[in-house]
Amino acid sequence: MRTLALFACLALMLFSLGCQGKRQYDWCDYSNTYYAIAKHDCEETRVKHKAELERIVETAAKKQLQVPPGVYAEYGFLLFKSGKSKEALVWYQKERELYPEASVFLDMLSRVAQKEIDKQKASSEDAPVETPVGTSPAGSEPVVTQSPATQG
Amino acid sequence: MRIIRLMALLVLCLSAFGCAKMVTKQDRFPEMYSEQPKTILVLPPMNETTAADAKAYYTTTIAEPLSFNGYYVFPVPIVEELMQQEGLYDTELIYGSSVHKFKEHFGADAVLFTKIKKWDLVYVVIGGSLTVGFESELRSTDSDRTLWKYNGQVVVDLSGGSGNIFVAIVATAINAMATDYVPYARMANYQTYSTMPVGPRNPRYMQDGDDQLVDQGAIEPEAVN
Repeated sequence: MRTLALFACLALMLFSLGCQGKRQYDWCDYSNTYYAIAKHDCEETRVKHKAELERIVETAAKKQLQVPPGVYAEYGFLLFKSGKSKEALVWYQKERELYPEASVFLDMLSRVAQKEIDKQKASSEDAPVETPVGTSPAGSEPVVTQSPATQG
Repeated sequence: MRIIRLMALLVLCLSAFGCAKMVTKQDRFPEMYSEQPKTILVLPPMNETTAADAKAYYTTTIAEPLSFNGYYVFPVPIVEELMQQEGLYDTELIYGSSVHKFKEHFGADAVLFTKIKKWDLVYVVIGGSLTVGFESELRSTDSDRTLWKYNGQVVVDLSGGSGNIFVAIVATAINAMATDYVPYARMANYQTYSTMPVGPRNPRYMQDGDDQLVDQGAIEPEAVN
């Protein structure tokens, strides 16, 4: 009788542990690196947080989990802020495919990025440049079909 | 002997239930099931404590539990930055007005307000305790009605030696790094948000209506316009 109870206990423990291990997403160390920025916003903490976002994406691929909501978008937004609007659009699109319920938000972010791209294009047309596109392999693919005509 | 032990256990079980009035999720938060929000926008918390850090801890730990609850959570850093660009620093002001604009601009089905009520760290000679208290409220961007509301409080005993392995680990952690509260903020978050009916990305979506939770009274029907 006692051994049975012991077994039951053990099974329960294993079961609850098992549940914990099989979560939908793996946020890695997101809270901590984000907190580091909140506490001390500088180049070092930002670089760390960006690296953490990359690690979340890698971990998801490795563990065959879904990338948590907002991670692709946040990564894209960081790219946008560092002047890589075209690459940002690619990440927004990834988020949109994974989380279609966020499309209003992502359309809004994409419009802002597209505006920036148009602005750059307009200024680069003034000065003739030999190689306009094709610098980065992943970022410059025309994945996103955004209509630039939507803004005034 | 065995019977006595069994009885004791039974009494313990009963008293645990008896102390707190229980209610089901469906009964307390019916509008969560009728409106079925999919996306949640987290607003910067309203801090009613003197701990300036509490806000940062809250903001950086909130996305995780909400995502596990099955909702799309808008990336908190982006929302924060966009709101600052718009000059919206004060969640208190938003609290008193309609939140419909978050539907238009972000496509958010609901916004989450949180008041940090308590963040008390008490040090005794050995150890001490930390009390974290939140009041959270989910409001619909369609109807401006409160869909879910719950108060959460976590008291962490930092004295160690209580026989609880988790507390022992925590106590060691706090000794090593006296200012790292992230685990407690996260714990308070998880405890509070487990009372929220889960969203479409959780396997138990629309099946958790019979789950019991400690009754904290009806959510006041707030007419905000």
